[in-house]
Amino acid sequence: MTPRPARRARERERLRRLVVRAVRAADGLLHRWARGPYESTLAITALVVLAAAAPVFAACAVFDWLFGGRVAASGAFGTDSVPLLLAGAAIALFALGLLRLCRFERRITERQTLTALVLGSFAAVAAVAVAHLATGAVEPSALATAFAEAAATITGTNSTTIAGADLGGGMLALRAVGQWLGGAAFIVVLVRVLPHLGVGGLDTDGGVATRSARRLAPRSAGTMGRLLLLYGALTVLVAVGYGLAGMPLLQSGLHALTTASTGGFSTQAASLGAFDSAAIEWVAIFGMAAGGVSLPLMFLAIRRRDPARFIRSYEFRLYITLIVFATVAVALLPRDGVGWTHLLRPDHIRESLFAVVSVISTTGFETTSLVDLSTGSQALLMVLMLIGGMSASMAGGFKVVRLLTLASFIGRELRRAIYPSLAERLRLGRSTISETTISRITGELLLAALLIIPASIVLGASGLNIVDALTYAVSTLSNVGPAMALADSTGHLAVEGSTGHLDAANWLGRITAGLLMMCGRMSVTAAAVALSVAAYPAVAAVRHGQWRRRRPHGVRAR
Amino acid sequence: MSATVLGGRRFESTPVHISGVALMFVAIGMAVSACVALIDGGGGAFALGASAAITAGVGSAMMGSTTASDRADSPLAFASVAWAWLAVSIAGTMPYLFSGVIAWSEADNALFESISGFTCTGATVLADIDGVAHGVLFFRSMTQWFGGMGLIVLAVSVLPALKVGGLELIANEAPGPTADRFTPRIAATARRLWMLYGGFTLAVALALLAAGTSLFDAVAHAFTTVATGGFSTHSDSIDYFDSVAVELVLIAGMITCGASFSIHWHLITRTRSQRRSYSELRWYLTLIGGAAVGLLVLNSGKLGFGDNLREAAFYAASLGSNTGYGLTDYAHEQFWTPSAQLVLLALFVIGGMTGSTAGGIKVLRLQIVARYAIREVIRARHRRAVLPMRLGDTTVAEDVAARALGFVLLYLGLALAGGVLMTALGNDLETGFSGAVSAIGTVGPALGEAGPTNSALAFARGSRPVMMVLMLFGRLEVFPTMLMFVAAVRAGTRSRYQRPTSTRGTRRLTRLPSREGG
Repeated sequence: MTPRPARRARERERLRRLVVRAVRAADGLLHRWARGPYESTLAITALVVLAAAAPVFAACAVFDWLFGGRVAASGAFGTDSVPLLLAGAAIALFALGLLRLCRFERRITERQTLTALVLGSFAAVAAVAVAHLATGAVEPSALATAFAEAAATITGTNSTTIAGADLGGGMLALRAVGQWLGGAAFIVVLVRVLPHLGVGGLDTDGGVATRSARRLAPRSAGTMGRLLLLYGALTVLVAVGYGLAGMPLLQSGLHALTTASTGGFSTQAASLGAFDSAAIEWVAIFGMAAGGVSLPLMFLAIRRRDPARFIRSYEFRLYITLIVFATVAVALLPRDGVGWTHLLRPDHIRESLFAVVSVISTTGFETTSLVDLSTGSQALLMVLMLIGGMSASMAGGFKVVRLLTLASFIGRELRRAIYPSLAERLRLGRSTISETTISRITGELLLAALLIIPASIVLGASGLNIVDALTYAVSTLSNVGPAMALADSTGHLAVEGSTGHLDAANWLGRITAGLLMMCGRMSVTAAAVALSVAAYPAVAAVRHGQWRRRRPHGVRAR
Repeated sequence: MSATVLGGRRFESTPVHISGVALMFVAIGMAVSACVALIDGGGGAFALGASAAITAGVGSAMMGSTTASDRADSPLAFASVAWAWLAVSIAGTMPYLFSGVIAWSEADNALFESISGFTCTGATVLADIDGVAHGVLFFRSMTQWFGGMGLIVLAVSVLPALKVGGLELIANEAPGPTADRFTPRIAATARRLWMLYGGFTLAVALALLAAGTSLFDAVAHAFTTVATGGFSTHSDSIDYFDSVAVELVLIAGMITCGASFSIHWHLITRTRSQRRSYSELRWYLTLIGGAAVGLLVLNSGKLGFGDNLREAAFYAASLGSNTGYGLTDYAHEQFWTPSAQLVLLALFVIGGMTGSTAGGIKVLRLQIVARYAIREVIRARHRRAVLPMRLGDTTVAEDVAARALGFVLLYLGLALAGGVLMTALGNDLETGFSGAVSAIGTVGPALGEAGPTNSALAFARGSRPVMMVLMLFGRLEVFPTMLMFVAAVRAGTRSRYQRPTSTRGTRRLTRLPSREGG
């Protein structure tokens, strides 16, 4: 590491101390406040998340009061201010009140960490759902819709029943900020929680993933700060880009929040297509693609001034290859009804690239509806949805590095079919992949596969047709949002991909969609662990009941 | 070309030899079908006879000019099996083409029909089946029966011995006519299994006859039931009979033949304690029962209760065993709800039991997959837990589980890739993806436009070759098909795994890498 100029270093040190002191102070306050009779770290996590929602609500209320009319299609200022403030206050009071009754546990186990993660995200979803209900963004009786909307906000999925144009400025801001904060929280989880748990094998060292994310700085807090800084810088960069491309200032800010976080909410009913500007779309393409790139990789490449680091990363190479290959395929496949005539349009490459990047980075912005692309490209895009972006990026989905690992795993099994006693370690670049990692990755994939089937059956039962149900299940699990089909033109909005599906499903489907989004964001394994912790009494009953008696003696010995 | 032409020297080539043997079997089938055509008088006898002669000629030449290698290692066995299937499928196109059932300009369709037959799939390109000569239809059903016959031996003894995709678990689950070294014992095993197979065929045929079908229909349907193939002699498939008795017979037949033949053997010969539980059988029956109940519930608004029950039971059995007989068109939303169709799609993927003629990933592998996934959840909670994986009474070794997982992943990947290709080649999403899943699962009917009452002509012509490849992949448990070229090319070349010249690239370990603590 090159020695830094002394003054800059001193300033940084001062800033760091300031942050540390603030965090310590908040921690101390929390410990002093939470001294109730009930010892539960889990409850404290959820309640702290709830309480933290209040300032965000307040900020959005202020935003609405000051600028609301400039972003909302209605042009009205402050329509959401009062409800948001009231909702924020109520949530804060509720959370602080209950916090008073709780107390920290001495130590928490790993499975509790996971459960805390799940509970915390549910708390965030609950807060956002309350905001939706309070401002009238969804009908007060439609609890399932509010849940789905809130889940879409927190997980960064562009799946909604509400067109951006129908919302007030406050809710637009809250939804955009919610997606951004959801992404930021995910970075924290990525650095602080997941490496310790190794859930779903995301610590595969494919170029740079979470394992190396821990090595960015001596302390994990430092790493976290650096990644968050990068995330913020990326957002600002995208906002500036949008501004230069001709988007109004506030709009570009809100869109930058949802681009960098690969969330995908837009203030416009027609998503980014509403601006009808090539420049804006190019900015979005780069923003989304960057959102799908591993943050630690980006950080290291910038820090060491070594762009070749990108090229050296297997995962990045495959990510870019996938984008290029899919774009060519989407551009060249003949479209229904028009054949190859779309090739005559000069913008068809950009259109294809936009669709591909939007889907693989799991953002879900739309310029043209996915339905207007050829069926072959729709199928391809669905596969890209499943794959998703790079590990340790803002994107959802299965992640490119896991795909790489699985591919080499399958290759080994093929080789082993010829040479049955073959013993071979899998490698990704210079590093070996441990068997543990492989089984975590396969476990994650199999859980996701076992989840998608019943989920799509439920979605099918709740009003979607087969293609809708399957692609929508995939899309929500990967936190993308738009899905295929729904091609019949009866009354769908221009963004039929992102609003149509949730609209068509009934309450059961909406809850399913919301749960899928959350499972996708937290990784299915984490969700399953949380569920298994919750269901432990029942499982124990089965285990120690008749289940055990069936096993003959001696089987357990090994 | 006989041995004398080649100067009396016989080449050592197991794939060619085995293909020749398989062709001889098919020639016998063609000759029998020709006899049926003669008795029936509906034409096609000459076409079948000519096909039989050509096939027999080629087959005997291939057999006579080569010998099987006595050092049959697994890649060679893979290659032989896959090439034999391909050879037989190509030979099987002749009766359709010679008899004019399929025009020469549509030779690809003939190949599709033939592959669909020998892989026991049951997807057909014949639009008007009732109008086809009975001799050809008999041959068509017989292709599935032969396919099933080869498959039984393959599934019960060859593939497990080669440890394909974790299939050696069959030996754990139901030790018996599985051969450790398959060459010496395979003949005896095959004989037993074929006896069983023939017995089932006879039983189904007699039951169908008793249920009121014609002799021809009974035999033809017995062939395709026992092979879990699904070709019918009527365009309306089983709906043609409109008889509960026939449906019940077929349900029983399909469920029986979708179950493991080695378990059947044990149950019949009582070589193994009846009290011992077969976990795969339990899962299999539960799955079919569960699917039937699920279909009943999901479709409850669409049909009357009686019809609903009939359909649910029939389709749960037909698709749960990957046979593919049809009643009404479930692919129409006015009859079936989308979720019920999705249940069927799940059945396509799962398929029947290992050691049977059914396709799909097989119930046993589903068990492993489920156990594996659950174990990872437990392991996320308890990092250092050592959790042996159990199936029923047996413990599954890690490398066996890995093989099964590798298979499932490859299978799903192929289905997905096939679906993308199918849609890119001109099908809609639903038809394309379900077609790919159906083809690799060797089911036959798909969803969308290619439901059970429609023929495979609903698929775009350009996309049907994809299905042919997928059918072969699915039928031969993926690995053999993938390796058939590798194994053929490999002869003579020394692999890097056999004698490592350097340690770069592959680190050889004395045993399988074990799990480390993360």
